[in-house]
Amino acid sequence: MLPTTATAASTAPPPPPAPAASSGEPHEALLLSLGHLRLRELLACRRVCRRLRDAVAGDPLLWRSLAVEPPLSYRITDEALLGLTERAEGRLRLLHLLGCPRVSDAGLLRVVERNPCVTELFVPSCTGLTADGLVKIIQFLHEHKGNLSRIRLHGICKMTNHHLDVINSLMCKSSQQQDAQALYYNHRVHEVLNTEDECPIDVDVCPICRNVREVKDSWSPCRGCFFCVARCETCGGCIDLEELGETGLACSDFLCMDCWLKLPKCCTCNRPYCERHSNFKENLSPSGQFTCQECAAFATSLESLEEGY
Amino acid sequence: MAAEKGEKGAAAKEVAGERMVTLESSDGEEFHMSEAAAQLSTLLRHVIEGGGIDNGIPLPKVAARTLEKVIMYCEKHAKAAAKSDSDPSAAAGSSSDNTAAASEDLEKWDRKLVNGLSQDALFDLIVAADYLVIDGLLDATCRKVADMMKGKTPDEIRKIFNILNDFTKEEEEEMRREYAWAFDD
Repeated sequence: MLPTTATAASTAPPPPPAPAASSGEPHEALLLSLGHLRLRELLACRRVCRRLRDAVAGDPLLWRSLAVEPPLSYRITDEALLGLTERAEGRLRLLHLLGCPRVSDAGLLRVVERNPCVTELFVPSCTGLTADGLVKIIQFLHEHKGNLSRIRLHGICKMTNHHLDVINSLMCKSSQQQDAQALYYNHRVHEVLNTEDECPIDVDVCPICRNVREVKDSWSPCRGCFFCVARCETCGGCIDLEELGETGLACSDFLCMDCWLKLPKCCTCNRPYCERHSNFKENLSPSGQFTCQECAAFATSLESLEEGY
Repeated sequence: MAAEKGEKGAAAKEVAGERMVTLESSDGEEFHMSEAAAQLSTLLRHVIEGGGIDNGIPLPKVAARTLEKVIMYCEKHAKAAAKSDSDPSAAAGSSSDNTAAASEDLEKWDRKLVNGLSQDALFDLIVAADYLVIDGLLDATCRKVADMMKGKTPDEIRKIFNILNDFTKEEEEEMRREYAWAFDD
């Protein structure tokens, strides 16, 4: 911490710490914020001045949790990853690699060998990894400290139920309720990775198509993956074919009848937009009336036809 | 001192059924805060539990305008916590929608509070939240700093936060080479 500036002895109470703007040194608050920075910003800060360089380099706690996101995801190689994880001095806990295609099985294994206390391993869509390689890595962690409690694997190629069986048996089950809770299926493939989700693993075998797919809690009891069961965009409940026929949307998503009824409809074709696409509404009036893009475009083309006469 | 001591939280007085604490900012201003709100600060919680101070708790590291914001944050969050605790259906799964919406509202409120601050005020609030050990406030304020830095080059960061580049040319070149893979330059 930067020391507060000393004041001459007086009866007045000591002033708050002077802002560092005049001295050109980074404010104490910036140093306190380092732990909240994403990796890219942490690396940028390192290059700002000596004080920040030393703060970033000198605090192994900053490096116990590593999250590689875009745009760094596409750039990071095995060597670069190793260089970053060395800063944790063997105490890496959380490793999040989101869509890093250049990280290989061997590279990740090397990191894990030097940091056997990893408790969380998120590697969704890391297409450089294989199911076999991941099993080896999880096996290593299990044999050495057995602390791994959460993994995210969706998007890893060629993951089969055999791999999943092995992985599930190796995972440290942190709470009983995870076993009792049935696994449901992710009805929103577009959702950003939810790091708050407490489930130990994010994939399971779809009972319908037998492929390994991403799973998630859902309201509906029907079990089936995104491709096998049509689900309501809003509530996650499953939708049968008849309902699908009656709940058409102006966007290409699906809604169950209950959620469909609640939404405002295009005043021409009577189809709503789902919440995710509500910004596509055209001619939106203060009362909430709107026209969907298709109807608006059709109306415009009709107008230009008429003008031609 | 003739005043009764030994009672827990001597600085706490009752106001309309709610126990209050008195805080004194670095510039001598007095502020009142409910004890429930003060509990959000680990530091204040310890001071209160330890018997407190009769005439208020002095905070020489926190100026009045910053303390005002701290109290706003703590009162808001203490009220929200009390509301969700007293919700009879809180135990049932059906109210998870309500709790999700309530916490989203609270997050929005936090963002609004933080976005309305000048850089100086934001920095002072971070230092205060760290000193008083208020995790939620420290999180919200530091996240704002992180957002301010998002996507910026080292030079842009220097400009935003008025930091002098004290590297030699050689040092700068070395800095550039390390982790060069992460940047475009």
